[in-house]
Amino acid sequence: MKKRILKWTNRIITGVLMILLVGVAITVLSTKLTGGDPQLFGYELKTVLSGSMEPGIQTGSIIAIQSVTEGEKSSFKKGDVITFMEEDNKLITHRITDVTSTENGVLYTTKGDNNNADDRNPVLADNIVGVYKGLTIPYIGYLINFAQSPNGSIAFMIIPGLLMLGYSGITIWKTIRQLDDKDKVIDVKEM
Amino acid sequence: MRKSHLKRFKSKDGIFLIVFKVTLIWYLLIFAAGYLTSDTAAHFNDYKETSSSITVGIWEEELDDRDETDKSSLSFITKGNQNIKACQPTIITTELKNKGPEDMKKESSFDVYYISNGNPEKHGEKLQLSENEGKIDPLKNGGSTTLSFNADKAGVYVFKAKEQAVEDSKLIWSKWIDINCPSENNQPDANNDSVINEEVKPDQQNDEANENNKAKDEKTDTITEKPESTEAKEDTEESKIEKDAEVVEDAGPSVTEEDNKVIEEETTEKEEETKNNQEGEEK
Repeated sequence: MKKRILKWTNRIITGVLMILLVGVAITVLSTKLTGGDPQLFGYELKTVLSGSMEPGIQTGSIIAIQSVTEGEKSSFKKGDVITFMEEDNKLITHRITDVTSTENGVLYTTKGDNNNADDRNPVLADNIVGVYKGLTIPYIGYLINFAQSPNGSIAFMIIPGLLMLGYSGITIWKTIRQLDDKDKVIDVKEM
Repeated sequence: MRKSHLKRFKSKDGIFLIVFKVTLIWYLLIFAAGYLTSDTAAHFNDYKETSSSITVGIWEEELDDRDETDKSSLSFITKGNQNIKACQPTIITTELKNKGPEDMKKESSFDVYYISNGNPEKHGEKLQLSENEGKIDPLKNGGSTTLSFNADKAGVYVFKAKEQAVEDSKLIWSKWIDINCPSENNQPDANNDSVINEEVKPDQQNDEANENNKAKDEKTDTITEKPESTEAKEDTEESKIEKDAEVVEDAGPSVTEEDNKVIEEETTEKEEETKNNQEGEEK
């Protein structure tokens, strides 16, 4: 019975590990090939670092952003929540409060739900990165952020690694001890 | 026997493998999480509207300005109260001088207080000046200007100005200017006056005239409306005293002590003058 449980656990874990490995490999490869942001089934995952969209999107949560095509960029309506590039590599997720059509394209006025005023600069349709459809996981963002900080690396990577090393060391040492014991027993018996 | 041992090792290895795989999964997850996510909405803006003033700096000119206004000091140089006999609207004037040590930089302003009877400084009402009136153009060090006001009622007027052209300046008052219209009082009084004057005059006329010229430095009364001769002026002054006395009697309890004092002072002055004249005659 015990053996069977162990066997199944082993299989499941191996399966998960394989799927993960393949999944991560494919994601990394595809990202490298396309040159865009990493995506998972067409969604980009973003960590929310501020409370400007509370209570809809909590600080420290993760939101899934659906990538948009060129055509979609100019067809958003008032009330949609969009993620856009405000400056280089600075992404902001806010709600559209006003849509203005100009010669150079569509301009969106945005506002954080928790802010009391519109954002200073309207958003050009070209700068939109994605649209938020309501998929959010709270608190994970904190965890990921922490994992990427130096302290987080120690806690999540180095300590488990050391434990792993320690555990394997003990296991090996035990095995050797047992092997030695058995050899002795055998020797004695043979004698 | 050996087989069972080996199996035992295998099962141990199995647990070890599971732990190893779990650790790998853990690492992969952390890597994936870090790899897949990026930051967003790192933007929190708060909008508040306030209004306030900021001092960016003080310019040198302004500093000079302040210094100079601070260092000017105005004063009324017209001495002695003026008594004007007039029944028509009269322009009353007083001299204002900048005693320095520096020029005035800004223009200043003056007010006129009026009371029909009594102390205009304490009880007088501030008169509404028209837009052009009430201004004092910047005076050079030592320069003077004439403040004027068109008085249309009989009564006591006084000018008030600031010693310096700054907000919290000390206030200075001019001497009083008293306008009275003889016709407003009883006619017989005027007659009486003339009688008294006639009585006094014949002896003292010349001396008095001289005396008056000498005393002009001290008593620089300017009467714009009626630039009469010293004689005539003497007349008005004397008659004024008489009339004041008259008024005191008439008004009775309503007249303030200060009024009385003023009248007394004026009378004593007159008396002294007459004494001096007499002494001069004796000599």
